Order: sequence, then structure tokens, then C-alpha cells
Amino acid sequence: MQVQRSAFLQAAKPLLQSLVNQLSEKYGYVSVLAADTRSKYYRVGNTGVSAGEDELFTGRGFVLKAYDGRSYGEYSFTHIDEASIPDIAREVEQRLMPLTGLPEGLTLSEYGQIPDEPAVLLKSTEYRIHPEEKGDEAILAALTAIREEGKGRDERVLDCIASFEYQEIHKLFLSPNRDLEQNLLWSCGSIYAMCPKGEEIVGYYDGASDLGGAEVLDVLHKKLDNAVTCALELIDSQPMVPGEYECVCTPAVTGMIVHEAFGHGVEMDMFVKDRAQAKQFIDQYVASPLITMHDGAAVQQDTGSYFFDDEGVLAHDTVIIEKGILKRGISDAQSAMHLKTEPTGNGRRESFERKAYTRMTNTYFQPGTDTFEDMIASVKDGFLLDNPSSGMEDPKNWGIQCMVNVAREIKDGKLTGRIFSPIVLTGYVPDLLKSITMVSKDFDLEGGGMCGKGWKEWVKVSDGGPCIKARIRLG
Amino acid sequence: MRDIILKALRELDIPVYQIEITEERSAELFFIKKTLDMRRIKDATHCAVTVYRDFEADGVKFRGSSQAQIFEGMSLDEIKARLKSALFAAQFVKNPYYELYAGRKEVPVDMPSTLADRPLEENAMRMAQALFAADTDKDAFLNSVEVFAIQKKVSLLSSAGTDVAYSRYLVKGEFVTQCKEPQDVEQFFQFEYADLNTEALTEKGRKAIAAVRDRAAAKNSPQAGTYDVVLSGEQMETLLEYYGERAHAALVYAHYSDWAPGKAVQGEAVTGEKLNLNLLPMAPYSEEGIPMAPRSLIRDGKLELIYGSNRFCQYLGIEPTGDYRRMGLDNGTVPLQELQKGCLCPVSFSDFQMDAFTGHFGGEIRLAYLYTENGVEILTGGSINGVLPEKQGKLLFSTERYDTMDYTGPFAVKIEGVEVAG
Repeated sequence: MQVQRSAFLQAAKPLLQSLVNQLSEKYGYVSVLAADTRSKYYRVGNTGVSAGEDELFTGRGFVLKAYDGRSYGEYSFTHIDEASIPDIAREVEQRLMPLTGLPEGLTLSEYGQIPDEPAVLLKSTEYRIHPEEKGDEAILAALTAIREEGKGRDERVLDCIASFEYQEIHKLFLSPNRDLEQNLLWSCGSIYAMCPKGEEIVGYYDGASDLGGAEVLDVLHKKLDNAVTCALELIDSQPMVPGEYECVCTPAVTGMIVHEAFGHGVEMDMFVKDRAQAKQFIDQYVASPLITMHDGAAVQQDTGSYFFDDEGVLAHDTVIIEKGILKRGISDAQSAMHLKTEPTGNGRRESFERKAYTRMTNTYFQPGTDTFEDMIASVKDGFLLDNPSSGMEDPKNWGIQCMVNVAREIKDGKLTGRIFSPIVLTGYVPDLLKSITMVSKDFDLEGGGMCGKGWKEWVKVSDGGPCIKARIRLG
Repeated sequence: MRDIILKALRELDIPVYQIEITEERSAELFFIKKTLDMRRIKDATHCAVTVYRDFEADGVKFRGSSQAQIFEGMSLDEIKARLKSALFAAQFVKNPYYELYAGRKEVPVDMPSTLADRPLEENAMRMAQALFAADTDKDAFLNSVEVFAIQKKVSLLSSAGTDVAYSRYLVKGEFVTQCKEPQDVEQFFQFEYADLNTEALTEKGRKAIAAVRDRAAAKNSPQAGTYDVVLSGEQMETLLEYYGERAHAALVYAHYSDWAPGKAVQGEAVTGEKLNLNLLPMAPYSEEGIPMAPRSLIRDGKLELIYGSNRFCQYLGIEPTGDYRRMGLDNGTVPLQELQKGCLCPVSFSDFQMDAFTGHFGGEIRLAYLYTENGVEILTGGSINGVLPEKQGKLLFSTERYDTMDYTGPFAVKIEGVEVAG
């Protein structure tokens, strides 16, 4: 089934076209992104049951972009009708675009005009079971069953939180020459099994995501066993002895390294600001020749997928690293203008209320030829790293800060059963990537989480890849 | 919006509800170095309506709830459809019965602010000017700056009598400092003020530029080992989240926390300073319309209060207080200079984290000072990893103070015996 179009956007379209036409008489470039998004969450845990529309991912509104021959301004607003069009135009003309009061010593960054290449697009993604068809009762029943099954596995399980969320996205991009509309649906679910360990509570998170519907719940249920088993194992976890070790990373940890450690460093708005070391490494080796890295909303079917970005640029598949060599970064439209490169369809906004930045979409390493078993067997003294918990970018210095929940000890090619937690990964990103000696045939993307730019601007992304073997500093 | 939503609720015969309407206007400036790269303005109204549905199962009374988002321009029929959908979902949200917070109609509160005197665009420009006033050198400078001047009007209304409103002004943002020599490094900072606090922002900018200059000079990571560590500034706020979260009614109700008033939350053998921690309001009312006032959370290391939203407090049989974000710590006995002696003092992390469930804190060090008998060594890299429940009995706090929107209290804390990975 295809995601249906938004009646709200259909009704707003002629008004928006009228607004764009009116302002185009005064400004060289005018565009509007209109959004109608609805997200619903469901959660079952010890705190009770909750269900409702998610405030962050539910919204209706517009962002207008105007170019005055030198620079760009944006106006975000939530209401339009026939009568309010002159008011909106007045806000743009009187409050937004005239630049007054710029302090002495500061100047205006001057840009050329966005090439408004003609394009028309109307596309929708597909799903098997729409969460609305599945219904609130069935979704909560499925989550309750997962939770009860998880809690029933062992009396030491304090809680087994089960949650599900979906977002139906409708976006319309209008400029004098572009008329783009997309209708998307993603869904994701998670399990968080928790066990007491003395005064602490340890837990293991697992999730499932898809550019689709409630079918994700079936995948989620299959992950319950592992989540509960791992949470129970964490009761006996020990603190890590700091040092540099041979490590095998699961696809989820690979995804965190791809995304946090490297991906943020090739967001080209960081090139514009001189904040990314990657800018100096184009066409140089930054990783093992075993590594090829992609980012693209058009290349995988997960929560980072779309047909056009929030600046009206069509989605791409960008090969960032090819056989170890950094080929290019990803960019939003304005950064691409600044750098005189082609935009890659990565201009994304948290919502119509926020500025567009260069953002990742679905980001991953390509699979290799090794087997997971051979990788474990090849480690003399090291760890299998699993269950990423958080990560932070450092594009300027390519410093790694990633945290994982589980490090399983490997001695002489075998898992010993000893577990260490929590683990901080540190080091220099290219050192880690160049140390990769094995890449597995496996491939998994995880799109349950959100990505921030610094500490804000949350968007859905997915990341992952195969298992990799590398030398990593752990603490 | 209020009238049409109330009409929809009446027509759907929904007797129990809570409405939060937020009108937000902003002026936003985005600078790269000393050039303005983008300017934005915003006029947005949001409305969240929570509807409640009572039902019984096996003789037990339940109250389910579900939230709908309502938008400007929605017709009555559209609003009714959203509310109906939420009401339908609420019947499957099987939570034990509780009463809504019973508030009353109050006169709207305009939180006083010097930001109210000027247009948002001017506030944004003035704050930008204040920050760039610190940017006077060539070797270390502001790489990029984002400034948001915001006006928020919040109205809270419920079927239990709450009818309150307040408005507030805010300027917030973030900036990155950069120093190119001897090595090219950067650091990230955030700010948030309820007044046109230009002097404070200029000072913050100056300190941030000095810090990035130090980081550029730092070559070595700390040697791996165990250190007495002094955490300061923003890390104070993050560290204290452990106490704020553990004392939250939702965590206690869910048995994620076993804290109760009277518990010696720092342990029985406290040889350092005993904590005196307060919860401080940032708005006149909570999201449920509960009037917010300063409250004592921990006194002499013992918990005085479990706090939180109406539902969880009712379940626990305690007074609903609303949720608090800002904390005030009354401790501080040692001058900073004394506190730092012999200690590793990380002042900047890539992302300092506190896990309230485990008590683990840590992060990768971007800039640290190691104070030894031979002087001060500037370090970068490595990470710290500690467990607060194991260390909290020996905490010492600085006499120097630190104030942000989220925290007021000692600038720094000394924690003994923290593991550092070099």
C-alpha cells in the first residue's frame, strides 16, 4: 500500500503558490516547504502505559525562504489562509529581509541565487500494515505481550519497556520552477530490559525500524530474547581495564562509528565553517582499503529515507569513502553554493520551524567478505563490542567519543563469557578506520534513534553496516 | 484556538481534559566567523490536548489518557477527529485511576525581563554584539555563533479548574571557538539567559576563547590511572542530574529508584561535604498548572522530597510538585585554587554524561589541567569513567559560585579516585 497524500497540503497548495508568486515579484528566489506530519507513540513499562501524538514529530506549518540579491532569510509560520497572505508577505518584507542593526565589525555573507531548476515530483513510500489500521488496541497489546514475556523470563528482570512509534510525513516544496510532493511512513520499536545490580540498574536496549508500518512489531518481538539475556548478563559485568585492544564491532557499533565518529565530519556545512578536518583529506586514505561508506536518503529503506530534502533537492546515494579513500562529503544547498559543489540532498530540518543544516540520512559501511566466526577466531586478546549507547561528534579533531554498553572478552579466538560495561571508545578516527583488518558479510541498519547537531536539531537517521575488526582504545 | 477546542470537547462530550497552548515568536541569527550567514524569524502556535477516559476492569478503576496535537487553521471537524482518535486510544491506556491536578483561574503572569523592552530582532542583534565583543584576537576567535531571541506565551487549562497563563522571554544560543596554532582546535559552548545579559555573555565569550587557546597548546593525554578529579561548570549540572532523577516520583513509582524521604542518599559514611540541594522553578507553573516554588530536595545528605508530576505523586500518596529542571546547591567550603591542588581538572568534554540508573559518569576529555607540585600541565584526550554512588561520600565543593538557567551553586566539585583512560 502507498502512503496517501495530505488533504491539508492539497488545500494549502494554491495559497502557497499565490504567496510564492507574490513575493517572487520582489525577491530573486522564493520557496516554501510545507509540512504535515503526524507521529504516534506507544509505550508500556513499570511507569504505566502511554499513547499519544508525539509533539516533536507532529506538526503542521510552513517555512518560506527568500533571497534579496545578496542573502537568504527564512520565515517559519503555522497559519495561512486567503486573508493572511498579505500579512505573511508583510512579515517577510518588513521584519525578515530588511537587515538592520548589524553590529559594527560584522558583515553579511553574500550568496548567489539558488538555481531553481524545473522539477515536478509526486512520490509515496509503501507499507504492509499501516499502524492506524493495526489500531491502538492491537499495538498496545503487542507491546504488553512483549513486556510481560520479557519480565516473565527471570525474576531479576525489573522492567522490560516496550515501545513503538511511527511518523507519517507529508511534504510539499514549491518554488517558481519546482513542485515536489512526498508522502512517507516510517516505524520503529524498541525493547529496554532492565535488571538491578546492587544500587545500579543495568539495561540492554534493542530496536527495530523500517520505512514501513506496524510490521516492525514482529521484528521487535524476535529481539526480546537477546535483550533480556544481555540485560541479565550485565548484572555480572565488570569495569573495563583501560587500554587499546583488538575489537570486533557488531553492525550496531559499526553504525555508531560510521555515524558519530566519521559521518558528522563529512557534513559539508562544517567545511564552510572550517570545522571539519575531512576537508583537507579529500582523495586521501582515511580508512582501510576494505572500507566503502555511503550516505543517502535514496539508497536504503529506513528512517533516514526520503525523495527530496527540506530544500527541495532530490535524494542521492553519496559514496563518501571508496576503498579507503575519502571521495566527497554530503551537503545542504546553501553550503554547496558556498563551496561551489553540487548539493547532495542532505539539507534537513528538525521541523519547518528550524533552519536546514547538512544532515546524514542512511549512513553505512558496505559489507565485506569475512565471516563473524573467523573474525572472533582471529582475536588473541580483545573484545566483541555490542550495544552502542551514545556518541558525540568531533569533526574538527576527529576525536572519538562513543559509548557502548557491552564488551565481551575474547581470548585466543574464543568468547570467554566475561562482560565489561560501560565502555568509552576514544582515539583518532582515521587511526581506528585504518586499523580495520576484517569486514564481515553481514549487514544491518538501525534507525530507532535520533541524530542531533551538537545538542539540538533532532532528525531520524539510520546507520549500520557489517561487523568490523579494528584496534580501539577502550576506557 | 482555545474556544474552538473547548467547543470540540463539549460536542464530543469529553469531560476530562487538559490543554496547553504555546505561542512562540523568535528572531534567529546564524553567523560564520564574523559574517551573518542566515537570518530567520518564527511565529508558531502549538496546542497539545490531553483527553482522559475512565473505565473499570475486574472491579478496579482506571484512567487512560492520550494526547492530540492541534494546529492553527484546523476546522472544528478536524479537531474533533483528532480528539476522538485520542479518546479512542485512551481506553487502552490502562493506568490506575488518579485525579487531575485541581487548579484555579489565576491572573496571567508576565515574567519580568529586560528582554521585554525591545523587539526580538534587536535582542538577537544585541546579544550577538555582546558575544562578538569578546572576539578581539586573531589567534583564537569565534568560529560560528547561533543566537535565538524568543518570546513564549503559555496557557494551561484543564477540566479540573486550572486556567493559568504566563509569558517569558529568553535569549539562548551556542557558539564554537577556534584556535589555529600551535594546533587547530575548537570548543563548543551554549548560553541561555532570561534577561538581556550582555555582560555575562561577553565574559563567557572571553573565557571560552581563552580555553580554546589553552586547548590548542595541549599536546598530551593524561597518563592512564586513578586521579582525584575536579569537575566544574556545566559538568556540575550534569552530575547533579543523578540526584534529580533518582528522587523523581516516576522513577520511584516504577521501582527504578528506592529513594524515600529520610534516606541518606550520599551513604552513611560521609567524610566530605553533605549535600544541600534545592529544586528551583523556571516558570510560575508546571505543564499541569501546578504552581512552582523553590523546594528543598536534599538536606545534609538526606533526601527530603520525592517530586514529580501529578499522576506519579498521587500514586505515591505525596503532594504533586510538578517537574523541575533547575537545581541549586548550597554547598561550597574550599576555595577553587585549594580544591585543584594535585587534581586532574577536566574543563571541557566532547560529551559529559551521567547515567542516573547506574550512577556512572564520564566522557572524553577535550581540555584538562593537571595541577601538580611542578605546576600546571594542559592536557587533551583520554576519558574519565566513575561511579558517583561509590565516590559521593567524599565530595568537596568550591566556594566560588556558578549560575546558569539550569543551575546555581558551587563552580566545582572534587571527586576522589576516578579512573582515567589515557
